[in-house]
Amino acid sequence: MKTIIRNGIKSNLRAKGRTTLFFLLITLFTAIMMLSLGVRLYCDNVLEQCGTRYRSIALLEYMGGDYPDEDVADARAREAASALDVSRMQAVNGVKSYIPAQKALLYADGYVRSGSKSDYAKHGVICVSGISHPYYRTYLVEVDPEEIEGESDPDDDSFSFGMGSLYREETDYSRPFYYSARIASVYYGMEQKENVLINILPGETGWTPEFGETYLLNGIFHSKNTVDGMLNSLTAFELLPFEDSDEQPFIRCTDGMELPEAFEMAVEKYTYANSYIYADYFTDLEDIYEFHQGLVYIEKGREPQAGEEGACVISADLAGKLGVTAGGRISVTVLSSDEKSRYSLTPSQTADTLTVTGITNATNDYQSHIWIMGQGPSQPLFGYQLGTLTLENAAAIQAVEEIQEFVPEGVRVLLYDQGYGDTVKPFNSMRSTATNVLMICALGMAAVLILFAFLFVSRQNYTVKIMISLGTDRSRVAAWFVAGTLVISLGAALAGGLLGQLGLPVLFEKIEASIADEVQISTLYSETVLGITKDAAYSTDFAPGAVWLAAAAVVLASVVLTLAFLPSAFRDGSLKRGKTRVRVPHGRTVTAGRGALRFASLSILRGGLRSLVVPAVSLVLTLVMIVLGGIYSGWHRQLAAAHEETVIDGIAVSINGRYYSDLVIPIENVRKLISIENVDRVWLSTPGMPYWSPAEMPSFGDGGFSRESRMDWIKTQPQVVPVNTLRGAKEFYYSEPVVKWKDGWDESFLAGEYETIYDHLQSMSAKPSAVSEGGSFSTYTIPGVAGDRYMQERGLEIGDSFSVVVLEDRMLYEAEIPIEIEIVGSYRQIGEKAQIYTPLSMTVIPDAVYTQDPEAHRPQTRYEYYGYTPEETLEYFYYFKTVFSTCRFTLSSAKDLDDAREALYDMGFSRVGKTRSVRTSIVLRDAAYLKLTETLQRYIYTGRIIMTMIFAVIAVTGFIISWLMINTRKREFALMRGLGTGRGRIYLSFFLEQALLALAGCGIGCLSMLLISGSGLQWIIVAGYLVFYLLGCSISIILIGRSHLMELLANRE
Amino acid sequence: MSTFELKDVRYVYKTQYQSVEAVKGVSAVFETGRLYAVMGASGSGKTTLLSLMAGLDTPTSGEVLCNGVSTEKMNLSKYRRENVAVIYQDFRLFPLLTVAENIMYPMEQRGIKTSSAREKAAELIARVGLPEMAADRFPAMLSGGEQQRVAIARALGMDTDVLLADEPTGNLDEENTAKIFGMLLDLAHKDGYCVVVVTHDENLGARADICLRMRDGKLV
Repeated sequence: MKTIIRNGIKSNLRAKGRTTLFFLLITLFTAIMMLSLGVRLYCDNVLEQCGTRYRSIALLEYMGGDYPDEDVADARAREAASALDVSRMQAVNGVKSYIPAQKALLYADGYVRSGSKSDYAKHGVICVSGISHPYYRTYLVEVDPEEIEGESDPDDDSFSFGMGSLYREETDYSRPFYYSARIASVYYGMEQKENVLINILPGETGWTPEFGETYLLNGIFHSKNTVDGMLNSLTAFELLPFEDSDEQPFIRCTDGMELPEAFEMAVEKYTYANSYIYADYFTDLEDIYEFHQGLVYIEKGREPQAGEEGACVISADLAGKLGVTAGGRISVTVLSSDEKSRYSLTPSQTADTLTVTGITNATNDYQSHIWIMGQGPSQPLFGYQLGTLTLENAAAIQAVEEIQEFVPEGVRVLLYDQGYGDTVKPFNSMRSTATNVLMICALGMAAVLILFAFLFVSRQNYTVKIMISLGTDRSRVAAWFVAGTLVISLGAALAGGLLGQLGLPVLFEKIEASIADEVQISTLYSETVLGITKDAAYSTDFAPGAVWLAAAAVVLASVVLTLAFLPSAFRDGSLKRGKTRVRVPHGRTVTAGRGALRFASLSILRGGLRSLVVPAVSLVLTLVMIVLGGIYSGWHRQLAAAHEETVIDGIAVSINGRYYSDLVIPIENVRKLISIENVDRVWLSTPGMPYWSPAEMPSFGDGGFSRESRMDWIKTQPQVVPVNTLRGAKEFYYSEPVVKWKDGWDESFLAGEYETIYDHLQSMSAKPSAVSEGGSFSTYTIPGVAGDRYMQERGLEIGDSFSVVVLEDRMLYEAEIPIEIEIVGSYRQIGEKAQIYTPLSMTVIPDAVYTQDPEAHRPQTRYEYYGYTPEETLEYFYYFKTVFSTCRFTLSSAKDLDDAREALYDMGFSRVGKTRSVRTSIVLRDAAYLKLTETLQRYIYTGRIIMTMIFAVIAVTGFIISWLMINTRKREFALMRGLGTGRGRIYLSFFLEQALLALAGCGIGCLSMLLISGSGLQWIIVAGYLVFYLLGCSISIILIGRSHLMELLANRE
Repeated sequence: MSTFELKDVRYVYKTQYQSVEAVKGVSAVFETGRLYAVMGASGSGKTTLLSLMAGLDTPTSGEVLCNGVSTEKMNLSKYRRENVAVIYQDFRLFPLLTVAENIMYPMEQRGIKTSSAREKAAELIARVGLPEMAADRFPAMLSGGEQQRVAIARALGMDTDVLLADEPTGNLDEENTAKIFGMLLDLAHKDGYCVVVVTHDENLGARADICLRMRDGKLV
């Protein structure tokens, strides 16, 4: 057996040309397979690590009119929450779970908060002594200038002017306005201290204190500046009747008196209502937004373990106030909110005891907060956060996109993946490419090995015949061939493996470098990287031993194929009797044509099956190339179209990326944005001004707190919002405006130039005595787009004008300015608030926004606000002090997206989670574009590799086929030489034959595709194929031609 | 009149592993109208000598003179086209060309019109004793003897004075051997060819006009 194996090996090693060719081919393919397998395994390793390091969640939020108010009771948000198809969401691939927002307010024994949003935030129960004599109220009475004409001088101190009216100061002696007193003790009162002076307002309670007595009082605290008419700056305490008792809210204190029940109940009520703690319930703390985003983290103690009921984590301030350390216990009571008011609270009857496992870092945003393991109590939804999806990292983007498609209208699904998508993107791309290369190489390798087995085994009939004639049994014959092929494939696989092994570290280094380059720029300011981004820390330690699997597979495949082809080697080599089958060509003597072309044509016509091989292979390869080339160029076309046709917009957002309205965007930042070359249109809005119809304003009486109540009411009113396009308004960020226009009007008027409301104010204040002079003020009129529901409720039509008053508070003072709105359009009103959209120039002159030289407008005389003339002040305000509450912009071209990113970065604009020199955070809404272009680029990149490899395979195929075709015709070649035919003519004969055959295949392929698809042909690719094929032919012919003629003639084949 | 002359011809086969001197200083003269038999054991150098005369290569030293001109100074392709015709043991016919096309091939190389070549081929087919219908047959359809006749016809079509035959009857049975050898004798004696036949067959050697024997690369 040893001899057999040795001879088998020798036989193959001595077939030098073929052996070298196949050795090189197997080595090459093995090396590429190992490299691609290595890259794939490397990427798998990194992806696996990223999968455990990163965590993906998505917030479901309703983008309501009052977003991001967390306390609002928005019926639409609640409808959306109940309309969410949770089971469908959970069925989406990549979704691990859906956790509805579980929030509640709790009371913890011993906790006193500072600052409260409840209705009882300013309520209190106090004991006062040292009560002063009563003070009486002074107030203004509007007078008719004509009535006092000639009797009084309107410019003296007893008169004052405001809102176009004249007022006279008068005093009401009919009842006491307030008393001053000292707080003897505080039973309840947030941040109130004992032994301080205070003003006490009896209001309508009828309290008339006796001098020198001490009183227990129930009421509400007011700061002095909210109460008109007081002579000192003390805090005011207004007596209020009890809500739950008919008892008087005042009682004279006696020695040893216990707190009366009504007062005790009030103290308890105020304590519960104001000392609430925000509670979130969870099953995994890492899925809670603030923990996921690193806004809060456990500083002391530990995270509750899964299923650890009654465990909780509390904020640092809460721990301090309660005096609790990690491991301690606290007692809490759930406070149930009223459906309409989050802070109208009712304590539950039972208290729960919780174990504090961890205490968070101290942070202002999450004060008085507790995170509790387990299910929370059922509470009405307030705010807009509906719930959280926990997602599998790898499928997170697709899952979010899919879910966004079917969630109720107005619900936004925002992915936070801690930078996972950005980190793994290049690895996914490389993995995909490596897989494709591996597949192609595997196919190429299979073809090579099949050919290898065919030539080295199947075609060795003569050798088999000799061996059998010498009585060699079949197993020994098999051993001969297996040993022969094994030595070549094993040697080549080892050589390829070594090449691959040496190449892998270099390749990995290149990967690291290219990924570092890509990470530098690719997704700056992108909406795909919202939230915090964890460092891409992963171990690149990688056991390259696994890549030797590729080499092992090659060796195994060669052995299997050897055994598979062995029967065919035996078939003709048997000693069975029978006629030898000789192929006889068909045809008659042809006398047409001459020379090489004639010989080539006759060879083609009479070549039988041999003449079909090249056209068939060419046809198949041509079809493959045309199809692949078509797909490849289609990707290029799609990419070009995506670059040209995609409109990418950007928005200014809060630093956490969640809020896009109610921002404070300085005008200089907007100017910087506009100066970026690729920024095309900028859509802006300045802060809205609450408006109301004087007729619709309720009466607030003339009590001491009417002004405060009035302002509270005003601030809840809808607003006049100056915008330069409707899409600049926050209400239309996530829904397209549907507008009916007055004839001849369209949205462009919003960007038009109108008189600003400040110019109008200035013209009013420039004429303070206009009223006494008998003049009249012009009304400020501005066109606007009003909500259809608002108009319907008031019987307004497009084209009508109506008067309202707006509150403007951005200049020196709060001003209530009567204006007239001309309705030029009505929009379909979705939210509760009927905003009116007016031109941006109502609040800022366009030149201030678009100028590139704002310094030219800075007053040079004095750098003191009050030192300027009114005109200078106003100009200074427009150019330097204007702020915008929303900012949205579009890029002129998507293909310059990276330039825009760089420009934003160079100017210092902030990103989500990364504050930089320009404190305006920008998000580019490029997710869809990135997804499309990255997919196409990956296809193109992979396609380029595949096309290159296909060309290489075609070149090799061309070479091998032509080599095989021509090698079998050495005798003809030699005979022609022997008959004195010149080399040129011989070469030409064979070359023409191969060229005609290949052309026929390509031509049929091209015509077929033209007829079937009618699409443009990939002429260059087909021509490339022909060139490669014929190059292979030429080399083969030249190689045979270089053989010695006597050797060729001696060849008996 | 001398047609061929070998002057101290030597030929060395050089391979990667060894150099073999196949022909060692052979000198001989070959004339038209005679049939020469070159005999010798296997490996004696007779086929190499014939190959040098056929112009497949030039001698390592010495000269092969054809009509007084050394092959060294000739274009070998042209020499093979116009000066010598070779008949091989295994016939060496183009498998995809018909009998007529095989015979016409060298004529066409010499620029003879296809129609004339076709007529000449028909004549030659008849001359070598093949039926007319054989003209349109392919070599694979013919017996060994018939294929050798086609090879002789192709050689005659080359219109040279010299016919070189390397074991022309090696693959043939006795009857065909006799016929083919008879034909070659006729070509020498009746048509005035200089026919050089390399053979093992002593009977054929005995029938030749001149029998040259080679041993170990030398004429003995």
